[in-house]
Amino acid sequence: MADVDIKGLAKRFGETAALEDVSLSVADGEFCVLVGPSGCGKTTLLRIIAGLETETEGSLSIGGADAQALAPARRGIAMVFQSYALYPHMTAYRNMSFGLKFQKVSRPDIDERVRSVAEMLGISDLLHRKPAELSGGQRQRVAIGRAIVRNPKVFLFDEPLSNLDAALRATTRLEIARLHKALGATMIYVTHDQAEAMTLADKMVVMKDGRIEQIGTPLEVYRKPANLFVAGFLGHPKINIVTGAIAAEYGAASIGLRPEHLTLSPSGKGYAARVVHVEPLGSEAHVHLRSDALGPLILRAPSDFSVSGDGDLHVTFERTRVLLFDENGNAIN
Amino acid sequence: MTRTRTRDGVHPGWITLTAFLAPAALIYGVFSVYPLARTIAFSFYRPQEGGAAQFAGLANFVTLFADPYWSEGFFNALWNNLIFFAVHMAVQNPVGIALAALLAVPGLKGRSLYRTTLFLPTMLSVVIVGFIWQLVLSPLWGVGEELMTAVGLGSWFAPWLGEESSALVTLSLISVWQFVGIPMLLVHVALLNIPRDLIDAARVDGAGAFGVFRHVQLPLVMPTVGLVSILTFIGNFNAFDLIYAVKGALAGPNFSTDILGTYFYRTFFGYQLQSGNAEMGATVATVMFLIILAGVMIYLFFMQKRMLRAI
Repeated sequence: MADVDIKGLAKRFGETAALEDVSLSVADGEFCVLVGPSGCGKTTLLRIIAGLETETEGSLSIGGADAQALAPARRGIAMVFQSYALYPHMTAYRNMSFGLKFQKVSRPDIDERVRSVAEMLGISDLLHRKPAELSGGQRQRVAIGRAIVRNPKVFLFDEPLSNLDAALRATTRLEIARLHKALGATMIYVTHDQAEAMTLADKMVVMKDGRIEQIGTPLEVYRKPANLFVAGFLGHPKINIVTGAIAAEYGAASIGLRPEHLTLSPSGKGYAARVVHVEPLGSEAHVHLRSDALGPLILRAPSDFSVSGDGDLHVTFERTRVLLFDENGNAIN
Repeated sequence: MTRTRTRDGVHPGWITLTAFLAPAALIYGVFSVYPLARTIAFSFYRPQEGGAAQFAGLANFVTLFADPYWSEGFFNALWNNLIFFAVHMAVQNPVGIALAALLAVPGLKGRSLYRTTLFLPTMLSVVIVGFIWQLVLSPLWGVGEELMTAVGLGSWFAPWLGEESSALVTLSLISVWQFVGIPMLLVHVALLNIPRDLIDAARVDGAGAFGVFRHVQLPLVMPTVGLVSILTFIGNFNAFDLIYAVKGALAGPNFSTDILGTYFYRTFFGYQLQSGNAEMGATVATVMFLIILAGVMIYLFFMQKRMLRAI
């Protein structure tokens, strides 16, 4: 069993609170992604789970055992850092075997484990190299390998892809997902990138200002955001928020309309709008509109979208797709 | 095909190059290269009756190494200088690293006070340091004996500066005391430059505070320690002032604290009954230069190569 259970966790630095009342349980084998804007406390939470920071209050158990009194190395965790944190004076091999030496694993065992993990990650040929002689992606693999070799109960990832270029990020993301399937280990993953969060997570935890805003599967969180912040944080282009008379029609203070749920109607039904700008992305087009009734809108349109005539159009949407929020910004069910 | 040169792409001409390099080259040449070249050249000459010097090849070096009148003193000074350097390496570096590590302890109160206090002796004049320690260690009126008696070690006190067996080591330790701030400061800066993530990673990997230091921090500050070592080597083999301030040019008792600097001083300028000999002085200076050159070259070839690989 390698579940992680956090109750009422708080971390304060003097007056300022980095985390407040955080409760979260991650089941054995689950891929949990902590996502939020920078400064939301997600990395602090991860470092507390790792034992690199101590909580001000609250409880933390890993695998059913209280972890608070345990040193990082005794918690059964392994961590992959944003900067990779490879020891620059050691070869990839020694980087990967460093932790095992402290676990008093015998030399032949270390060798076998390092080599089999290196095989799995495709870095067998790089083991004799030092980090300076490796590319960003290769360093990333060594860092992940160093975590796997320790055979931890829980993997902790701290924005592991943010130093990679876009193409490498996509393939490494896929590899981490595959790795999770292969190892079946519990993983807690911090990112500010919503694409990573959506694609990797079994359980997604959206944080803001040291508090958890919502926990759920990626689709749940996307489809039924708990509040305006979560609705706005996820989704690209950003959700359209409409306030005023039209929101009042739905009995809400504001309503949220996803760009893909808006349709243009040629028949003259719906709300009058005019095209301000079109961003063609190849696979689709983002159409920026201005409507007297709804305000500024973004609409996701097919890639062959083009403005005809003077750009006056009508926008419609299905009532069932509308997200409702009260005056405090919380979702109305 | 002709290439049009834009204003920005023009290579600097000879005049520009000369104009920018001349001031530095001139100062370096006049105050460093020329005196060095003249010293080396001087070491190949012998004085003649009537004042004119005559070219003598390597005869001065043969005299220095083989004539007992010169070689005894020279090899004594060389050996003492090696001991002087060895004490520095054995005490200054470990103590400097330890102080740097203590300064880097998280949450240490009064960090800058310690740092300043420990670095203070480095900024003092060597003459003052030598004089103060001479007073402290004086068996007649020094506070050293009283201080040691106060903590129950009075019977261990000895006139260390006055005994042949201990004077050199005592002087070395005084020099270490004065200059330990330099390795401390440089290593401290190197420690601060180690990314936090590396230390966190080592902790997650199971290293305790000592393990982190031994396996991560220490190897990463070794290039700095290497740099400090070569600076110490250069300083030690050029040293003169401390010995001269405490023991005078005769470097007593019985030449037991004589190092190359003081030996050179007596050779070149003469002292008491010994008359000055500029050519032999230049020979000693040339040998000192060659020793330091050899040390620096070993450092550059081995340490630098290892450092480059480590980065």
